[in-house]
Amino acid sequence: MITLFAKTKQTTHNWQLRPPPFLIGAALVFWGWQTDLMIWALPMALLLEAPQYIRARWEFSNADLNRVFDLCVIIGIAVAVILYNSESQLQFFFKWIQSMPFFFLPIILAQRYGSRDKMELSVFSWVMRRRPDHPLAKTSFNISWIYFAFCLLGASAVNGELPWFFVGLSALIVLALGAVRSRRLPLPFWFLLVGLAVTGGYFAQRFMHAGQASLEVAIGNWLANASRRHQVNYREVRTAIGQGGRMHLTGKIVLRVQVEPGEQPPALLREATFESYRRGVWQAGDAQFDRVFVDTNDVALVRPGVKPKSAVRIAGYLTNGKGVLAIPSGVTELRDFPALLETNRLGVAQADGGPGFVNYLVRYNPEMFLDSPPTDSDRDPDLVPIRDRATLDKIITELDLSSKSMPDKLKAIAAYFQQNFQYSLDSKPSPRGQSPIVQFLTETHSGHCEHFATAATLLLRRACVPARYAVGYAVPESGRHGNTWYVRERHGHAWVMVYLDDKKRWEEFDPTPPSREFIEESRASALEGISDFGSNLWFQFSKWRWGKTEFTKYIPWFLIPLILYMLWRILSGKRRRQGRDSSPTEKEPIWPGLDSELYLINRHLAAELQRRADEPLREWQQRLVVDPSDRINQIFALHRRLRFDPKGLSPDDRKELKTGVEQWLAIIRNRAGV
Amino acid sequence: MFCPDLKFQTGGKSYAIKQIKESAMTKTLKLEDQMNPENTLDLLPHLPTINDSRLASPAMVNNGVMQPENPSPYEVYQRLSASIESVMRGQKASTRLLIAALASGGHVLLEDFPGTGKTTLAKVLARSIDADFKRVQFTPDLLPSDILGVSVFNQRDQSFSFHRGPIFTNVLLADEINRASPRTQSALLEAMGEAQVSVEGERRELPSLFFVIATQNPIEFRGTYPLPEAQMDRFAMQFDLGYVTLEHEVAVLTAQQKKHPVESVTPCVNMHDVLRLREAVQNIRVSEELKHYVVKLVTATRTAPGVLLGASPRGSIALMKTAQALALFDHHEFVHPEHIHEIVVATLAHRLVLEPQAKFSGATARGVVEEILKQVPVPG
Repeated sequence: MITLFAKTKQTTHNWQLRPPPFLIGAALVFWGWQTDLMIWALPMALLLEAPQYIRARWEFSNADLNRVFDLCVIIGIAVAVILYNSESQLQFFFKWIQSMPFFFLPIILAQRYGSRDKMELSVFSWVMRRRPDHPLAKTSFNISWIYFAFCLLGASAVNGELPWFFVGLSALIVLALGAVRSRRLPLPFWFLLVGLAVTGGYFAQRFMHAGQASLEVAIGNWLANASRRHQVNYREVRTAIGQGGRMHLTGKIVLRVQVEPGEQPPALLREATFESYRRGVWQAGDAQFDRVFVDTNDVALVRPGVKPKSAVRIAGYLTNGKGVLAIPSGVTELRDFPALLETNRLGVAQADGGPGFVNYLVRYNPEMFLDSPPTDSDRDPDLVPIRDRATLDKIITELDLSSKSMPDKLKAIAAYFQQNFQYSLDSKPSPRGQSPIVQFLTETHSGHCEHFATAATLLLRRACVPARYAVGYAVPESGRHGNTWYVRERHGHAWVMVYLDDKKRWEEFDPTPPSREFIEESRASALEGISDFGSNLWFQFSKWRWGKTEFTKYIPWFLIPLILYMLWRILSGKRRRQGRDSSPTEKEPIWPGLDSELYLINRHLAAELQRRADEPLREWQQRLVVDPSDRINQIFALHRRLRFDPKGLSPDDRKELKTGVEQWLAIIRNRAGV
Repeated sequence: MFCPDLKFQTGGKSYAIKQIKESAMTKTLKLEDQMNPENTLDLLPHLPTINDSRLASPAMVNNGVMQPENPSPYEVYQRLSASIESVMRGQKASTRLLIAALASGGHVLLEDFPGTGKTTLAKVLARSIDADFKRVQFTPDLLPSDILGVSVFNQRDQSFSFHRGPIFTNVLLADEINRASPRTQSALLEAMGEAQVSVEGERRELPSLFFVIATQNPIEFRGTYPLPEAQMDRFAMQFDLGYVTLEHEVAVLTAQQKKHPVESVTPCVNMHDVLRLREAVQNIRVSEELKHYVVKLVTATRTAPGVLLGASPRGSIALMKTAQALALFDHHEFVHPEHIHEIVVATLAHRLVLEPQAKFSGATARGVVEEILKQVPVPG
């Protein structure tokens, strides 16, 4: 300790490192103004500036400071947890940044009211606390500047009135820089330079603001893509037809589908339906959405009056609370659905304003589809792309489709694809000028679900059967885990919606050969079990987190005992840690004479006069006692005999040691009093 | 043919050699004649016979000169210290260490530059005790038999008679010990460790007072064999004399202007006194806590960074025993932590073998021990 003080005094100048008076207070007020937390900021600022008028100082040891910083970290974590549960994800981070001056208050108070100007780096690093010999552990610095920076950072996290924020920020920074400015330059010149810097900064930040806005959008998109499956665009979908290469889809679990025991889930979960095809792109026509009424019990009646026949529970994630739902065709109502719901004539159901995770019950009738009756574009053979027509017509004549009844047509097409085609995730790029559909039908005879669904839709349309192209997920039998089916990203699928003119209803028709499932499962990663484990943990957490909105309100009540417990751990940590440091195998015995009264004197001395651990008694004695005839030397002699003579002290000598120490203590106290 | 004094002539200090040669020869013969193992004191197992004239107190030898008989152990130390300091100017600390080694029954290795007074220190100690002193100059061609002795066939008696080597003495100065081959160096192992030698399968005991002062020159690397660790470990302590202050060196010049002051040193204690001093040192009390402290220091050398081989339990014993001796010299009845502090570098540093990397980076055994002293909390 003593050497440390000496060292810091030698190497640094205090005037350089201590911020000017009232700077921190001003920064706090600025922060309170920007964050609308003035009620808190004003007392905090007063508390921090008060030491200028208070002379008393607290003597904090390094261990005390460690605990204060731990307290800051705990408050920071608690604030993060509360904010995470009460704010949306983006807001959560900014709110947390805003609250930084609040939870770093204990440590800055400890410095302001403490006797020391600086803190060692080891206070802020658990690694250095354990390794006191770390080269940086003894580096000490004034944390006021860091707190100042936190105040500015906290204020900047508010998206408030920009010009005033900039003025305040510039004023504070100019104040701070002015305090430590080099005396080499004349003051007017310095002001000129600062003015230039501020003006330049203003334009630079305006430029950066625009840049940041576009960057945020880009990052938001990227995060949405990276974190969850890419959202389906119900307006148009670009297929991989004709591009060549291999389909890369992961085994990430996207949906969990649960049914009552003994029942089967729907084979297909539809997301979107498309009407017109052109050069590899499927597009939907008019896609006006209608709001579905969701009552207070989170029940969305999609089609009141239609009786549901089956029910299935679907759990999945919604990025930012919105997205297209993958639901069985023929949905009649959604239960436990805490979001807004919209549907359109193509059977697309879109959620908005919901939580990040939904777990809802879908009731549906597989014979009563939501979709509107077919339009001309669904059935007009002349809307099929010209370059595909010849090939399609050839197949129609070959299969003699026009003479067959509707069910037979579908059977014939399915049989045709199953017998002559192969399912494959690898495909060759189509040569320039040739239609990929023609290439698929006449040359390669292999492709994935998009090939089959597109070709079948066009084939049906050419044969005057109304048909649409649908995308979504297949619920595979291989994904079954008890009553729950895991639907993974690679189970994304495309199929055909066929309109049965005679029955006046739509039907799902999957022309892809059944070998698809087997081929896809063979691509599964060997480590899928591990990722599933993590996914399930996250699923359980999400269920808990989003499950009951009431529940999150009670989280602080659970947190308070937890925080109290952690506080108790930290406060009682010292004793525990010491016990751990001395290894249990070499426990220090209690030596005779450790109760010597001389130790009382050591406790009452100033820090630099106390005995160091590596200092022999005699050296300490020589430091303390100048006069060899002093009576204190006798006390030392008695103490030595008490400690190191196996014979010990006689009761009389022991008493003498005690009285001698008491007299000495009295002298010390008198001197201190004087 | 065996000639015990042959090696003496290789040394550069010829003025002393003749005298040592004469006295050593006669004293060796006397000692041989008078060693009678059956007639020993009960107290001290290897004590020489009572009727040895040199065991009588100096007062008797000097025909009633005012020297009190049977001086107290503390007085023995004071007399020895005064006697040595009268010749060795400005070497108070070294003198204290040397007598501590003598009083605790250890041996001493002096490592210093030529001409700093190593031999003089050994000689003045031997003369002050009125004990037998021999010096062996170690050279590369020195053989173990040159130190221990050899059996010679006597033609007249038609029998072998054993010629004792220079090791059969009280104070042995092994000069430049690192110049001899390891084989010869090892001849001292048994003698220093167990106070006996085995020659030609026969065990021969050394005199009860057997004290080795070995010297080695640190700067001469050419033609030297560094002492093996086992040999180093046998030395209770290693220290250097160092150059004295200008004042003291001038005093040395003045003292030697006419004759060497060693010549005027007369015995101030006898061997019996020294043996009693050793016994008194053994009776100095050591608390359990300080024994723990000693062991903690020694074990710390084994785990210290950069150390290949730490100090042995023999090091702990030497540390405790010499600390006991220092406590007696300070007129204490029990050991203080300061005594351990004072002696720890001298008793432990030479036992450490540093890692080559540590050596290259400038670490020294002495520095390692000093660092350990700072790290292990001292009882207080």
